[in-house]
Amino acid sequence: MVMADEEENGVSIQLEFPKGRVKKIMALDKDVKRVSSEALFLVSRSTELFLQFLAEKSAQVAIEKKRKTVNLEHIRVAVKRHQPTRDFLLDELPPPSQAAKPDKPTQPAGRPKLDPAPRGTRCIDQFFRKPEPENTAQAPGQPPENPAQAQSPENPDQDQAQSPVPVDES
Amino acid sequence: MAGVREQDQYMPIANVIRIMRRILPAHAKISDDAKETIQECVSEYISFITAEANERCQREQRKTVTAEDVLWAMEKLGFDNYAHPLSLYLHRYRESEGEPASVRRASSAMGINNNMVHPPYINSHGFGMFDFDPSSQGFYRDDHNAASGSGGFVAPFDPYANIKRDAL
Repeated sequence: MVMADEEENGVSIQLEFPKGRVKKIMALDKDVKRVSSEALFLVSRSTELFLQFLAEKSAQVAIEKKRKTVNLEHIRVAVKRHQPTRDFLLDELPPPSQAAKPDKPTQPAGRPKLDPAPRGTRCIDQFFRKPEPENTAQAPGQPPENPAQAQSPENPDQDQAQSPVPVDES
Repeated sequence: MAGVREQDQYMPIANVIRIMRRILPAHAKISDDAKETIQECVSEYISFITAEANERCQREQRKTVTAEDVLWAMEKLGFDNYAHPLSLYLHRYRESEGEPASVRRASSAMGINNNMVHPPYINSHGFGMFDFDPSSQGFYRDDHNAASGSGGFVAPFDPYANIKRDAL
Protein backbone atom coordinates (compact mmCIF):
# COMPACT_ATOMS: atom_id res chain seq x y z
CA MET A 1 0.00 0.00 0.00
CA VAL A 2 2.62 2.51 1.07
CA MET A 3 4.89 1.42 -1.75
CA ALA A 4 2.13 1.87 -4.32
CA ASP A 5 1.30 5.30 -2.98
CA GLU A 6 4.91 6.33 -3.19
CA GLU A 7 5.31 5.15 -6.76
CA GLU A 8 2.18 6.90 -7.94
CA ASN A 9 2.66 10.28 -6.32
CA GLY A 10 6.43 10.33 -6.20
CA VAL A 11 6.22 11.35 -2.54
CA SER A 12 8.93 9.75 -0.45
CA ILE A 13 7.21 8.57 2.70
CA GLN A 14 8.92 5.21 2.79
CA LEU A 15 10.68 4.70 6.11
CA GLU A 16 14.22 3.39 6.29
CA PHE A 17 13.65 1.94 9.73
CA PRO A 18 11.17 -0.87 10.29
CA LYS A 19 8.14 0.46 12.15
CA GLY A 20 7.84 -2.67 14.24
CA ARG A 21 11.31 -2.21 15.70
CA VAL A 22 10.73 1.49 16.41
CA LYS A 23 7.50 0.56 18.12
CA LYS A 24 9.25 -2.02 20.28
CA ILE A 25 11.89 0.48 21.34
CA MET A 26 9.20 3.03 22.19
CA ALA A 27 7.35 0.37 24.19
CA LEU A 28 10.42 -0.27 26.34
CA ASP A 29 9.16 2.67 28.37
CA LYS A 30 6.45 1.08 30.51
CA ASP A 31 4.67 4.41 30.90
CA VAL A 32 3.94 4.54 27.18
CA LYS A 33 0.53 2.99 26.67
CA ARG A 34 -0.54 3.75 23.11
CA VAL A 35 1.09 5.42 20.13
CA SER A 36 -0.76 6.69 17.08
CA SER A 37 0.45 5.71 13.63
CA GLU A 38 1.31 9.34 12.90
CA ALA A 39 3.44 9.60 16.03
CA LEU A 40 5.19 6.36 15.12
CA PHE A 41 5.84 7.71 11.64
CA LEU A 42 7.26 10.96 13.02
CA VAL A 43 9.57 9.23 15.48
CA SER A 44 10.87 6.95 12.73
CA ARG A 45 11.53 9.85 10.38
CA SER A 46 13.01 11.96 13.16
CA THR A 47 15.36 9.12 14.06
CA GLU A 48 16.55 9.01 10.46
CA LEU A 49 17.28 12.75 10.57
CA PHE A 50 19.14 12.33 13.84
CA LEU A 51 21.20 9.47 12.42
CA GLN A 52 22.06 11.52 9.34
CA PHE A 53 23.08 14.42 11.56
CA LEU A 54 25.24 12.17 13.72
CA ALA A 55 26.89 10.57 10.69
CA GLU A 56 27.58 13.96 9.12
CA LYS A 57 29.13 15.47 12.25
CA SER A 58 31.19 12.36 12.96
CA ALA A 59 32.49 12.42 9.39
CA GLN A 60 33.48 16.07 9.81
CA VAL A 61 35.43 15.23 12.96
CA ALA A 62 37.15 12.34 11.19
CA ILE A 63 38.12 14.65 8.32
CA GLU A 64 39.46 17.26 10.74
CA LYS A 65 41.65 14.59 12.30
CA LYS A 66 42.61 13.38 8.80
CA ARG A 67 41.18 9.93 9.27
CA LYS A 68 39.29 7.82 6.76
CA THR A 69 37.71 5.59 9.38
CA VAL A 70 35.03 6.98 11.68
CA ASN A 71 35.66 5.61 15.15
CA LEU A 72 34.23 5.97 18.63
CA GLU A 73 36.23 9.10 19.49
CA HIS A 74 34.88 10.98 16.47
CA ILE A 75 31.33 10.19 17.53
CA ARG A 76 32.03 11.46 21.03
CA VAL A 77 33.44 14.74 19.75
CA ALA A 78 30.47 15.16 17.41
CA VAL A 79 28.07 14.55 20.30
CA LYS A 80 29.85 17.08 22.50
CA ARG A 81 29.53 19.80 19.91
CA HIS A 82 25.73 19.67 19.82
CA GLN A 83 24.15 20.76 23.09
CA PRO A 84 20.78 18.94 22.79
CA THR A 85 22.48 15.71 21.75
CA ARG A 86 25.10 16.00 24.46
CA ASP A 87 22.44 16.44 27.12
CA PHE A 88 20.94 13.01 26.67
CA LEU A 89 23.70 11.05 24.98
CA LEU A 90 27.14 11.87 26.39
CA ASP A 91 26.59 9.86 29.55
CA GLU A 92 25.47 6.88 27.49
CA LEU A 93 28.65 6.72 25.44
CA PRO A 94 31.31 4.26 26.59
CA PRO A 95 34.06 6.02 28.57
CA PRO A 96 37.31 6.71 26.70
CA SER A 97 40.00 4.02 27.15
CA GLN A 98 38.85 2.80 30.51
CA ALA A 99 41.77 1.41 32.53
CA ALA A 100 40.97 -1.68 34.55
CA LYS A 101 41.91 -1.24 38.19
CA PRO A 102 42.56 -4.58 39.91
CA ASP A 103 41.23 -4.55 43.46
CA LYS A 104 43.48 -6.63 45.70
CA PRO A 105 41.44 -8.05 48.55
CA THR A 106 43.30 -7.33 51.77
CA GLN A 107 42.64 -10.24 54.07
CA PRO A 108 43.25 -9.44 57.72
CA ALA A 109 45.58 -12.03 59.22
CA GLY A 110 43.86 -13.78 62.06
CA ARG A 111 46.13 -13.86 65.05
CA PRO A 112 45.82 -16.87 67.29
CA LYS A 113 44.69 -15.87 70.73
CA LEU A 114 46.42 -17.57 73.63
CA ASP A 115 44.11 -18.57 76.40
CA PRO A 116 45.32 -17.21 79.74
CA ALA A 117 46.25 -19.99 82.10
CA PRO A 118 44.14 -19.87 85.25
CA ARG A 119 46.37 -19.67 88.26
CA GLY A 120 45.51 -21.23 91.58
CA THR A 121 46.39 -24.81 90.93
CA ARG A 122 49.53 -25.81 92.76
CA CYS A 123 50.35 -28.46 90.22
CA ILE A 124 50.52 -25.92 87.43
CA ASP A 125 52.59 -23.51 89.49
CA GLN A 126 55.01 -26.22 90.47
CA PHE A 127 55.16 -27.49 86.90
CA PHE A 128 56.03 -23.97 85.76
CA ARG A 129 58.85 -23.77 88.29
CA LYS A 130 60.52 -27.00 87.25
CA PRO A 131 61.80 -25.91 83.81
CA GLU A 132 63.71 -22.95 85.20
CA PRO A 133 66.27 -25.00 87.17
CA GLU A 134 66.63 -27.35 84.24
CA ASN A 135 67.34 -24.48 81.85
CA THR A 136 69.91 -22.90 84.14
CA ALA A 137 71.68 -26.24 84.61
CA GLN A 138 74.66 -26.05 82.35
CA ALA A 139 76.25 -29.33 83.35
CA PRO A 140 74.25 -32.39 82.25
CA GLY A 141 75.95 -34.41 84.95
CA GLN A 142 74.02 -32.65 87.74
CA PRO A 143 70.33 -33.10 86.76
CA PRO A 144 69.35 -35.35 89.67
CA GLU A 145 70.39 -32.73 92.21
CA ASN A 146 68.33 -29.84 90.76
CA PRO A 147 64.88 -31.51 90.95
CA ALA A 148 65.69 -32.62 94.49
CA GLN A 149 66.27 -29.04 95.55
CA ALA A 150 63.17 -27.78 93.75
CA GLN A 151 60.87 -30.25 95.42
CA SER A 152 59.47 -29.42 98.84
CA PRO A 153 59.06 -32.00 101.61
CA GLU A 154 55.35 -31.27 101.80
CA ASN A 155 54.71 -33.21 98.59
CA PRO A 156 56.19 -36.67 99.07
CA ASP A 157 54.13 -38.06 96.17
CA GLN A 158 55.98 -35.92 93.63
CA ASP A 159 59.25 -37.40 94.84
CA GLN A 160 58.13 -40.78 93.65
CA ALA A 161 56.74 -39.40 90.38
CA GLN A 162 59.82 -37.60 89.15
CA SER A 163 59.94 -39.33 85.80
CA PRO A 164 56.16 -39.35 84.90
CA VAL A 165 54.48 -36.52 82.92
CA PRO A 166 52.63 -33.81 84.93
CA VAL A 167 49.40 -35.24 83.51
CA ASP A 168 49.67 -38.04 86.06
CA GLU A 169 49.75 -35.49 88.85
CA SER A 170 46.49 -33.90 87.73
CA MET B 1 16.34 -15.28 24.81
CA ALA B 2 18.80 -12.64 26.00
CA GLY B 3 20.15 -12.29 22.45
CA VAL B 4 16.72 -11.85 20.92
CA ARG B 5 15.76 -9.34 23.57
CA GLU B 6 18.96 -7.41 23.02
CA GLN B 7 18.37 -7.29 19.28
CA ASP B 8 14.92 -5.83 19.83
CA GLN B 9 16.40 -2.92 21.75
CA TYR B 10 18.40 -1.62 18.80
CA MET B 11 17.68 -0.63 15.24
CA PRO B 12 18.86 -3.16 12.66
CA ILE B 13 22.52 -2.51 11.94
CA ALA B 14 21.96 -2.87 8.19
CA ASN B 15 19.49 0.01 8.12
CA VAL B 16 21.76 2.15 10.27
CA ILE B 17 24.79 1.55 8.04
CA ARG B 18 22.82 2.20 4.86
CA ILE B 19 21.66 5.62 6.07
CA MET B 20 25.13 6.51 7.31
CA ARG B 21 26.68 5.52 3.98
CA ARG B 22 24.42 8.02 2.27
CA ILE B 23 25.84 10.84 4.38
CA LEU B 24 29.47 9.82 4.71
CA PRO B 25 32.05 10.47 1.97
CA ALA B 26 32.58 7.68 -0.53
CA HIS B 27 35.96 6.64 0.85
CA ALA B 28 34.93 6.79 4.51
CA LYS B 29 34.91 3.68 6.66
CA ILE B 30 33.20 2.98 9.96
CA SER B 31 34.85 1.03 12.75
CA ASP B 32 32.96 -1.79 14.41
CA ASP B 33 32.77 -0.09 17.78
CA ALA B 34 31.45 3.04 16.07
CA LYS B 35 28.68 1.02 14.42
CA GLU B 36 27.61 -0.46 17.73
CA THR B 37 27.75 2.92 19.43
CA ILE B 38 25.63 4.53 16.71
CA GLN B 39 23.10 1.74 17.13
CA GLU B 40 22.85 2.51 20.84
CA CYS B 41 22.66 6.27 20.20
CA VAL B 42 19.72 5.80 17.86
CA SER B 43 17.81 3.69 20.36
CA GLU B 44 18.60 6.19 23.10
CA TYR B 45 17.24 8.99 20.93
CA ILE B 46 13.97 7.14 20.36
CA SER B 47 13.56 6.49 24.08
CA PHE B 48 14.41 10.11 24.85
CA ILE B 49 11.83 11.58 22.46
CA THR B 50 9.23 8.98 23.43
CA ALA B 51 9.54 9.69 27.15
CA GLU B 52 9.11 13.43 26.64
CA ALA B 53 6.16 13.03 24.25
CA ASN B 54 4.50 10.58 26.61
CA GLU B 55 4.95 12.98 29.51
CA ARG B 56 2.94 15.64 27.70
CA CYS B 57 0.36 13.04 26.70
CA GLN B 58 -0.17 11.96 30.30
CA ARG B 59 -0.17 15.51 31.62
CA GLU B 60 -3.18 16.20 29.42
CA GLN B 61 -4.71 12.95 30.65
CA ARG B 62 -4.65 11.26 27.28
CA LYS B 63 -3.68 7.66 26.63
CA THR B 64 -2.49 7.85 23.04
CA VAL B 65 0.75 9.59 22.07
CA THR B 66 0.01 11.75 19.04
CA ALA B 67 2.12 13.33 16.33
CA GLU B 68 1.69 16.71 18.00
CA ASP B 69 3.19 15.29 21.20
CA VAL B 70 6.23 14.11 19.26
CA LEU B 71 6.70 17.47 17.54
CA TRP B 72 6.32 19.29 20.85
CA ALA B 73 8.85 16.96 22.51
CA MET B 74 11.46 17.56 19.83
CA GLU B 75 11.14 21.33 20.09
CA LYS B 76 11.37 21.21 23.86
CA LEU B 77 14.40 18.94 23.83
CA GLY B 78 16.30 21.16 21.44
CA PHE B 79 15.76 19.34 18.16
CA ASP B 80 13.63 22.16 16.80
CA ASN B 81 15.43 22.03 13.48
CA TYR B 82 13.76 18.66 12.93
CA ALA B 83 10.25 19.85 13.79
CA HIS B 84 9.67 21.88 10.64
CA PRO B 85 10.70 19.24 8.07
CA LEU B 86 8.80 16.63 10.04
CA SER B 87 5.67 18.76 9.90
CA LEU B 88 5.95 18.68 6.13
CA TYR B 89 6.47 14.94 6.15
CA LEU B 90 3.43 14.60 8.38
CA HIS B 91 1.32 16.55 5.91
CA ARG B 92 2.40 14.26 3.12
CA TYR B 93 1.77 11.24 5.30
CA ARG B 94 -1.76 12.38 6.09
CA GLU B 95 -2.31 13.21 2.46
CA SER B 96 -1.36 9.71 1.34
CA GLU B 97 -3.34 8.07 4.12
CA GLY B 98 -6.44 10.16 3.54
CA GLU B 99 -7.06 9.59 -0.17
CA PRO B 100 -8.13 6.17 -1.40
CA ALA B 101 -5.87 4.49 -3.93
CA SER B 102 -8.48 4.59 -6.69
CA VAL B 103 -8.98 8.35 -6.40
CA ARG B 104 -5.21 8.89 -6.34
CA ARG B 105 -4.76 6.84 -9.50
CA ALA B 106 -7.62 8.70 -11.21
CA SER B 107 -6.14 12.07 -10.22
CA SER B 108 -2.71 11.10 -11.54
CA ALA B 109 -4.18 9.87 -14.82
CA MET B 110 -6.26 12.96 -15.53
CA GLY B 111 -4.50 16.28 -15.78
CA ILE B 112 -7.50 18.29 -14.69
CA ASN B 113 -7.91 16.39 -11.44
CA ASN B 114 -4.19 16.70 -10.84
CA ASN B 115 -4.47 20.47 -11.07
CA MET B 116 -7.34 20.50 -8.63
CA VAL B 117 -5.51 18.37 -6.06
CA HIS B 118 -2.05 19.95 -5.98
CA PRO B 119 -2.62 23.72 -5.46
CA PRO B 120 -3.80 23.57 -1.82
CA TYR B 121 -0.71 21.62 -0.71
CA ILE B 122 1.60 23.94 -2.60
CA ASN B 123 0.20 26.88 -0.67
CA SER B 124 0.55 25.10 2.65
CA HIS B 125 4.16 24.17 1.97
CA GLY B 126 5.23 27.61 0.89
CA PHE B 127 8.34 26.36 -0.89
CA GLY B 128 9.46 27.78 -4.20
CA MET B 129 12.66 25.82 -4.72
CA PHE B 130 12.69 23.81 -7.91
CA ASP B 131 16.42 23.40 -8.53
CA PHE B 132 16.75 20.32 -6.33
CA ASP B 133 15.69 17.48 -8.60
CA PRO B 134 16.76 13.85 -8.13
CA SER B 135 18.04 12.31 -11.34
CA SER B 136 15.59 9.45 -11.18
CA GLN B 137 13.38 8.41 -14.07
CA GLY B 138 10.41 8.05 -11.78
CA PHE B 139 10.86 11.50 -10.31
CA TYR B 140 11.59 12.95 -13.71
CA ARG B 141 8.30 11.65 -15.02
CA ASP B 142 6.48 12.96 -12.02
CA ASP B 143 8.06 16.38 -12.38
CA HIS B 144 7.24 16.40 -16.07
CA ASN B 145 3.59 15.65 -15.40
CA ALA B 146 3.47 18.17 -12.59
CA ALA B 147 5.20 20.82 -14.68
CA SER B 148 2.64 20.44 -17.43
CA GLY B 149 -0.11 20.75 -14.85
CA SER B 150 1.03 23.72 -12.81
CA GLY B 151 4.24 25.71 -12.86
CA GLY B 152 4.52 26.11 -9.10
CA PHE B 153 4.83 22.44 -8.22
CA VAL B 154 7.29 21.72 -5.43
CA ALA B 155 9.83 18.92 -5.72
CA PRO B 156 9.15 16.10 -3.26
CA PHE B 157 12.58 16.30 -1.61
CA ASP B 158 12.52 20.00 -0.83
CA PRO B 159 12.42 19.52 2.95
CA TYR B 160 15.45 17.27 2.77
CA ALA B 161 17.33 19.81 0.63
CA ASN B 162 16.45 22.43 3.21
CA ILE B 163 18.03 20.29 5.89
CA LYS B 164 21.16 19.82 3.85
CA ARG B 165 21.48 23.54 3.23
CA ASP B 166 21.01 24.28 6.91
CA ALA B 167 23.71 21.78 7.72
CA LEU B 168 26.13 23.37 5.26
